[in-house]
Amino acid sequence: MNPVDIHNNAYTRRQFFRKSGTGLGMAAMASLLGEKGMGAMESMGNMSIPQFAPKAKRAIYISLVGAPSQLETFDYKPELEKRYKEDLKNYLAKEGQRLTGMTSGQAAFPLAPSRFKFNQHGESGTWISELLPWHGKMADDLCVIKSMHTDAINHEPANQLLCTGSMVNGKASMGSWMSYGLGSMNEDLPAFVVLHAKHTSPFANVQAISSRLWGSGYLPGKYSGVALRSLGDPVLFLKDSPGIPRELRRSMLDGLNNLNQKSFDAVKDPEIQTRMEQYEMAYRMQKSVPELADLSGEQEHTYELYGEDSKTRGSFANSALMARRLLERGVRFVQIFHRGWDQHGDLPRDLASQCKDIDQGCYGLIQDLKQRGMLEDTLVIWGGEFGRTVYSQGTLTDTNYGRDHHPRCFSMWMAGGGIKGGQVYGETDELSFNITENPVHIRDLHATILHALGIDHHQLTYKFQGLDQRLTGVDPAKVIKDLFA
Amino acid sequence: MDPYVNTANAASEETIVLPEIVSFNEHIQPILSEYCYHCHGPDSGTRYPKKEPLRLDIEDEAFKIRDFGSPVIIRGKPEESEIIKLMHSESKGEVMPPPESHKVMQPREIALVEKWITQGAEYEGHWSYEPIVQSDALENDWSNKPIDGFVHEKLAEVGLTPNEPQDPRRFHRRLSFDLTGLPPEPATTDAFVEAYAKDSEAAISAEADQMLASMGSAEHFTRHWLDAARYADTHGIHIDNYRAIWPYRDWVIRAFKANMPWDQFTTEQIAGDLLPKPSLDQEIATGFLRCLATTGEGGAIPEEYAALYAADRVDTIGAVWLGLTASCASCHDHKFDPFSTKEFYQLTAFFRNNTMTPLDRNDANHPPSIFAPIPEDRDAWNNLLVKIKDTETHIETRKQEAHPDFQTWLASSKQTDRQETDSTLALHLPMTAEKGKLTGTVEGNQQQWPTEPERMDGPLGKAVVVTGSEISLGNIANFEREDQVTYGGFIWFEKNANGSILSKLDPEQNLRGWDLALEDGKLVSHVIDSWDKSANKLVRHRRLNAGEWHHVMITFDGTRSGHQAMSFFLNGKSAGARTYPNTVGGNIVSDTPLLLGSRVNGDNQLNAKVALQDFRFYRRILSEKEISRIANLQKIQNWATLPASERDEKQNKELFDYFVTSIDPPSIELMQNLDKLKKEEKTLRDRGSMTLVFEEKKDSKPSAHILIRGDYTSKGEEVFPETPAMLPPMPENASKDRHGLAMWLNDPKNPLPARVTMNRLWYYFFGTGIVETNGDFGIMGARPSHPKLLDWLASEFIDSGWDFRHMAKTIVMSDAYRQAGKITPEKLEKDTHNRLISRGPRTRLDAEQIRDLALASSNLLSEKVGGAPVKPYQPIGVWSAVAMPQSNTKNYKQDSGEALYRRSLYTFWKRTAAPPTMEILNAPTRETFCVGREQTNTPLQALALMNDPQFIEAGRIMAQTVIKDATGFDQRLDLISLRLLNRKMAADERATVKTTFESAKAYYEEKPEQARRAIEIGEMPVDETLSETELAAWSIIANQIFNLDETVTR
Repeated sequence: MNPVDIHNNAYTRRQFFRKSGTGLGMAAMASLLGEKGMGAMESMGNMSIPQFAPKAKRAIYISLVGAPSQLETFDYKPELEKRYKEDLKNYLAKEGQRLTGMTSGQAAFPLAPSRFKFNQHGESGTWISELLPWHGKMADDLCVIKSMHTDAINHEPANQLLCTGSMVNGKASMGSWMSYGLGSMNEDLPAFVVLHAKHTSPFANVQAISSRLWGSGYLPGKYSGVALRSLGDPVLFLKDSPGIPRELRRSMLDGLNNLNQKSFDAVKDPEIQTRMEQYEMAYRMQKSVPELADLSGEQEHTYELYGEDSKTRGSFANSALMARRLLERGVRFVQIFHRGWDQHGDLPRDLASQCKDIDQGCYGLIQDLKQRGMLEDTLVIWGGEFGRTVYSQGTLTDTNYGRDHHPRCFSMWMAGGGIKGGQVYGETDELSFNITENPVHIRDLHATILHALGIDHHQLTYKFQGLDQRLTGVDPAKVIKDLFA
Repeated sequence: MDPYVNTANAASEETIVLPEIVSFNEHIQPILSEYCYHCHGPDSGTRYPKKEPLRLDIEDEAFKIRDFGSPVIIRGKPEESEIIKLMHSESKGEVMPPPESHKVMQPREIALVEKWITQGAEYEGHWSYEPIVQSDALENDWSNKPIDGFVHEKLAEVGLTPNEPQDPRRFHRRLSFDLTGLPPEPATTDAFVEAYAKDSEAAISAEADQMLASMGSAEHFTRHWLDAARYADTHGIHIDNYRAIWPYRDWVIRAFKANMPWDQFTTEQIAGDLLPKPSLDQEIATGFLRCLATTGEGGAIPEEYAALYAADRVDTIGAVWLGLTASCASCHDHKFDPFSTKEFYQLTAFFRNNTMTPLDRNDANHPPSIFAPIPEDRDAWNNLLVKIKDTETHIETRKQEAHPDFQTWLASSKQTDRQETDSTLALHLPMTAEKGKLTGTVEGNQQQWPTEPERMDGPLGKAVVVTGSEISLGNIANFEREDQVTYGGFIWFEKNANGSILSKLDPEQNLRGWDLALEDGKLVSHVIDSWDKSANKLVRHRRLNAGEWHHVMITFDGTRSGHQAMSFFLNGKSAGARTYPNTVGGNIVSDTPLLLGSRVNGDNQLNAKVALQDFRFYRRILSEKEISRIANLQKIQNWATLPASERDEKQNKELFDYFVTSIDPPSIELMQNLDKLKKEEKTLRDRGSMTLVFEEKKDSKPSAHILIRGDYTSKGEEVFPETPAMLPPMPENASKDRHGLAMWLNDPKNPLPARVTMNRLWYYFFGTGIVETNGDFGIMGARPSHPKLLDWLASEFIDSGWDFRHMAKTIVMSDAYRQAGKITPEKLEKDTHNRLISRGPRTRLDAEQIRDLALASSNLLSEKVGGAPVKPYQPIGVWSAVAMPQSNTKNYKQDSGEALYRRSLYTFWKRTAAPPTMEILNAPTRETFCVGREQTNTPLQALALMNDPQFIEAGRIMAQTVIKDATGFDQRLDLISLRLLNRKMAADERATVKTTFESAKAYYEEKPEQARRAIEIGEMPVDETLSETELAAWSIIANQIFNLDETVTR
C-alpha cells in the first residue's frame, strides 16, 4: 500500500508502527508525516529519530554531464608548461591506465598543459581558471574538492554511479533518497525536482541521460524526481485542456470526489482516498506550478545577479533561478542537469563556451541564496562524473587539444549548508593524474551530502532483494567532516 | 513470511505468540538470513571470524564442534547454545548481530530461534530449490476447487472468511480486463449476466474460453511479456537510435494466440536458432535475447559491453524463469543464495559464443538480423523470390538466344530511324528532324504538333530550340505520388539561362505538377503537391557548362519518402543533386498542358537560348545502365551503321546490350516483368521489417572467464556452460549450449520455472504474486503466502503440458478470484495488502489498459494487429529533452489517422524516454527486465488522466455518440457509464453528475467559443450537426466518469 495512505483515517496508529517495522527506514517515517507530522512523531514518545541536527534543510545539485576538465577549472598545475608535449606513453603503461576505446589506438600521449590562465581569488586565495571569472568572485563561498575519484570510465555508468551510487541499473537516485528520507516541506509541490538546462554551443559533445539518473529505482515511485520541462508545460498535462476553465475543473472535481467518496463508502479501499487526495494535489499544483514558473515577480537586480541569460527559458541561469524558487517554496532537492561537457577535441573552444553557459548562473544562485538568508541551510554541489586526462586526445597544437576520460581524479565544489567556504580539500600529483591527499570517493560524497542534511547514511535504508539498500551501497563510505565549518 | 505470524511479531507490546511447530523454512531461515548470513553465510569472502569461519546456512557446518568444545547450536538445549547466549548478550563486543551491522534482533525472533532449538533445530532445504509437491487441498464449506481450498486454509487460520462473489456486471469487467486487457462490450455483459443467473460456472467458463481465444487476449498477455523481455523500439544507451525488432513482438502475439506450450515458448526464445532446421519464426523468437539495451558509444570498450550483455541475459533469464537475482554473483559469491561467482559465469558462458558485435553502431539492423515478411505475406514472399530468380534466368537464356535477331537488326539498322518498343515510354520527343513540325510518340501513338520550332545542331541531328517555342503538348505525362517515372533528355543552354524547359506546374493550384527547368544555369526539377509545404525540388548545384550538350535524367520513385524519391543522372551516370524541400505528398496531378519553354500562364519563360533533344518520359524507374545507353545513343547508332569488320569487340558487346535492353521485344517484356516483381518485392519488404536475431558462432565453443569483482579487465579462470549446482542437473541428453539450457528450464525436475511462471501469472490477476518478489525466489526473497497453492499451480501447469491458457482459465474459474473487492476494517487489519486473498483483486488498471479503455469505449480503437510501432499523441519535447542531437529518435513525429488509435502495446517505445503517459502510470522504462510493475497513485497521474489529449478526444467522441444515440440526460449518462463502468448509475450518483453537467452547460452557453475550443482537441472531426455547448458539456461528463477510481481500477 502506498505510504501516503498513512494519512488516511482508515489506518490506525498501531498499523503504522507495524508497517514501519517491516520495511521503511526511520527517517522515512518523518517524510511520511511531513513537517507537521515530525512534531507529532516526537510526541509519540517511544520513537526516537536517530538523526542529528541537520546543517542543511535542502540541497541543489548541479550536474555537468560529460565531465568538465579539472585541469582548466580548479586543478592548477603551473609546472606542466615545462613538460608541454612530453609523451606519457611509458608513464601510462607503468600506471596501468585504463584507456577508453577513443584513445587506446593513439601512438603517443602528449602532455597538454591548460591553455587557460589561473588566478588566486578572495581571501582564501583559491586558484580558479579564467574560464570561470564569476566563480572567482565567490571563491570564499566555495569548498573546492580536488580529490574526487570514481570507478567508471564511461559516461553512462559513471553518471549512474554518481546519481544512484551504483553502476548497476535499477537503484534509487540521490534525490529520491532525500525525498524518501526527508519528505516535502510544501504540500503543493513534489520533494525532488529535476531541471534540464540547455547548453548553447552547437559543437558540444552531448551525452544522453535518462530518468534512471533521477528515478526512484526500488523506492516507491512517489519519491522519484519530477522533471520540470523546458518546453511546453513545466509539468506534463498540468494545464487543463483548452476550453476547460478552472471553475469548471473544480466542479468536475467536486463531482468526481463525491462519486469516489460513494465508492469508498461502499468498498472501503483506502486507495480510493489516496486517489482523491492526489486529484486535489494535482489541482493545487495547477496553481502552484505556474506560479512557480512565472518569473515576472523577480526583481531586475536578481536577473542581474544571474546574468542576461536568466531571462531565457531553459538556459542554465534560468534553471538556477528556477531552482532557487523551488527551494524557496519548500522543495528538498533540486538537480540541474547541464549537458555537453565531453571535450575529447577542440577543448579550448568548447570548454570555454560550456563554462560561459554556467559561470554567472552559479554565482547568481549562491549570491541570491545568501541574500535571502538561505545559503546557510542550503547545500549546493557542483561537478561532473569524472575527470579528464592530462595528455591530449588527438593532435596537440599550441592552440588546440582534447582530453579523454579520467576517473582517477577530478574536481567538484560545494557551498552553503554548513560547508566551510574558501577552502580547497585534497590534492593531486603534478600531472593531476593520481590523488596524493585526502581522496574522496563518490560514496564518500554521498555520505557527506546525507550528513549535511542530518542523515546517517548507514541508517537511511530500504529493503529490496533481501538487502537493506543504501545510497552508499555495501562498501565502506566516510563522511568528510573537514568540509564542514 | 506468514502474515499471521508477522502481525504478532510487529505488535511488540503484546505477549509473544509462537507457532506450535517452528519450521526452519517458514520461521528460522528468514531470521538467520536477515541477521547472520552476511558474515556466516554463503559468501566466503566475508565469512567471520577469520580464524575459524562459521557458516550457519549449511546444517553440517552449523553443528561442527568449535574450538570451545561444542557446536554453536546444541539440539534441544537453547540455554546451552552459544548462538542464543550471544543473541542475548548485553556486551557490545559480544552481542550478535554486532552493533556495526546496524541490526537489532526482536525478542520474538530470539524466542523463535530458542523454540526451534528446543524442538530439535531441524534444517530444511530452501523452499524454492526443493522439488514441487502437489498437495491435496483441504475440504471446506466454500468451494471444492483446489485453488480455493488452499486460499481457504490460510483465511481460516486467521479467522477470516472470503468475500461474497462480485456482482456479475463488475465481475465481467474484471474478467475482460484480466484476460483481454480491454473493457467488455456492454451487450456482451448483458448476455453474460443473463447466462450467469442461470449457471454461473458455465457462464464464466464459456466467457473465459471465448476471451482467451481472442486476438485481444494474445495482445494483452504479450504486453505483460514485453515487460519481462525488456522490449523497446530503440537501442537504449547513448544515441538511442531506432531498432528493428517489432517482428519479435508480433511473434509473441502469435505465440499467445496459438497458446503455444510454455516449454516451446521458452525454447524458441532462448535457443530457436539452435533447433534443427529452424523456421523463420524460430529465428525471430531469438529476438528475446536481443531486446536488451545496447550501446554504440564511441568510447565504449567492446569487451566490457560483451561482459555486461551476457550478464544482462543471465539476469533476465534468472528473474523471468528462475526467480534468481543472479547479478549479485557477478562480483562476489552470492551473499545469501548458494550460488557462486563461478556458477554465475558458467551461466553467462551460454551466451558468450554469439556473432553480435558488442557495439551496435547505432544501426537499426545491428547484425545478426534477418528480414521478416509479415505472416500473411510469407507465402507470397517465398513465391516472389522464386519468380525473381526464374525471370532472371529467363533473361539470361533469352540473351543467349537473341543473337540471330540481333544480326537481323544490325543488318536493318543502317538508317537511324529506330522503332522504340518499350511500352513504358509514355512520351518520346526525338527532336532530330531537320525542320518541320514537332513530332513524337505519346503512349505509343505517333503525334504531330502544329508549331514549327527553330532548330540547331544536336548530338543526334537537328535539335529543337525550346526558347520562345511555347508549344503546348497537351495534358499528357501525368503521374501520381505513388508512381515511378523517369524523364529527361539532351539539353543545351546559354550562360545563366533561367526558366522552364518543360512545365506541367499549375500556378492556380499552388504550382501542382512537375517540371524541368533552369535557375541561373542550375538544372532543377520540381514535383509539387502544394508549394512549398508539400513539394520536392531537386537542384543540381554544380552548374553545367553553358554552350555544351548534356544528357540529364531524373527518376522519381513515389514508393519512397520525399527525400529519397528523386535521383539525378548526368551523361548516363548517377550524379549529386540535393532535394529540398523534400516533403511531397498528396496529389501531384495537374490539369494543365505540358508546355515547352514556360509555365501555362507565361510565367518563368526562358530568358536565353535553350535546346532540347531526345526527351523521354518513362513510367518506370530506369536503371543506371539503361540511362547510360540512352545517353550514349548517338555513339551506339554510329556503331550500328559501321560495317561489322570495323567494329571492335567492346562495341559489339555494347551494341548487343543495347539491342536486348531497348529493341528486343522478348527481352524487354521479361525485364518489365522483372521490374514488376521487384516492385512487389519492395511492397512486401516495406510491410515487413528486418529484425534482430541471436546466432551462435559456428567455429567456437561457448565459454567465459570469471571476471574478478565483475571487472572485465580482471580475467580469472575460464569456465564453460553449466547450470547452478543447487538445482537439479541438466537433463542427460542436453547439450552444453543454449538449447540444453532451454531443456533444463523445461525439465519438470527443475522446480523453479513452473513456480516462477505461475507466480507471475497469479500476479497478473491479483496484483501481487504468491511470492511477493516476483523476480526473487532466493533465500532473501519473500516467502510464498500460500506455498501449497503455488506448488499446486506449478504441477498443474507441468501436467497440463505447459498449457498457459488452461492455467489462466483455472485461476479465473476459482471462487477466490470471483470475490468482491470490498474491504472490511477487519480485513484491512488482518490482511492489509490482500496477501491472503480475503477479497477480490481491486488494483488499478495498467497504463496500457487505461488508454485502451479510453479508445475502446469511444469506438476509436483500431483492430489492426502487429506491424511497425506507431506514434500517437505525445506532448512536445519529451524526446528532445533527453536525446543526443544525432539520434534518429530525437524528434517525435506524431502519426495521424489509424495509427493514433492502435492498442497501446504498439506505441513506439523509446527506451530513454518511454511514452510519457504510460510512464506516469507506472509502465517500466524497459531498460532492464520488469517482472512486476509498481503501482503508485500520484498527482501526475491525475493530471494525465484529466488532460492528455488522447483522453480528451476519446471523451468527446463518446459524447458525440451518446448525444446521437440517445435523448435525455439519463439515457445518455447510461450509455457513458455502461461503456466505462459496465453499469448504470444510482439515483444519487446521477444527481451528482447532473450537477456537474448543469454547471458545464451553463458555462458553455455563456461562452460558446470555449465550447468550440473544448471539442476541437484531437484529429477526429467534430460532428457539426450537434450543438457545440451540448457536446462540450457531455465531453466534460465523459472525462469525469473516465477519471473515477471505479473506472481505472479492476
